[in-house]
Amino acid sequence: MPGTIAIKNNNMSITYDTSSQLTRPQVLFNLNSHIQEILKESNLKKTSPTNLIQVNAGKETKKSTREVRIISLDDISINKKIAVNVVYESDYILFTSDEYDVFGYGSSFEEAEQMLKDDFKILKEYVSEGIINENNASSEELNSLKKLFGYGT
Amino acid sequence: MVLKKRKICKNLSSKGFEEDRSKDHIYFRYYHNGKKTRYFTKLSHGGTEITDSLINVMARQLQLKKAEFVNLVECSLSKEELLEIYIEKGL
Repeated sequence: MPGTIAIKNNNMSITYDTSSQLTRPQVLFNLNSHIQEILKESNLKKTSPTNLIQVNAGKETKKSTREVRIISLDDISINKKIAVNVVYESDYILFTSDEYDVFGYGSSFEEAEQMLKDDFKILKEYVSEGIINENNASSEELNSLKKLFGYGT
Repeated sequence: MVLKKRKICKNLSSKGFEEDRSKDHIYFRYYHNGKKTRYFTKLSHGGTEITDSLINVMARQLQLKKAEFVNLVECSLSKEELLEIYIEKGL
């Protein structure tokens, strides 16, 4: 598909020629990897990924991309790492965990991650206080939460 | 689809959710007979509206179908109907 995809980050600029052999998903995947590197290198706090992406592939602009990240919950006293889905929307980054039905979002990874962790704190509180219990949760869900928070099953 | 945050705050608060603005985000916790239940969700302080991705995850966190959540916010799902849903799911 003809057109160009470019990353613009202050003085940095990377341009892909989408008329190459790569398919559009492959190009977007590569582009996403570059964004991760740029964010890591520049430690951007308040930059929306779609501010970094300009897609011109002939038709409509691709709005969001997805990936999976592993985050550690050590800093909220949960000795586990979990996989979260990351969705890049036009004005925020969204972290979700389908397993635990929690989410976080913000203009930076840090904000989204912190918001997600706040949900885990509440879940932990609710499990320890018995607010989440066998009357309102399946045994599978309850066991999964107890295991996550180290309460045993 | 877009939902106004002001409308979400107003309608969740009028249908059994208590709003907690003491944290970095606005938390909504569902109470029944004065007791906290397991159902909660939240919004960030910034912005004026939310779009599909957030609508979906908020609905899911509240254990509602997307249509139920939208109806809750748009006022066509009553406080009593919401309670029925949550009684069925377990309080």
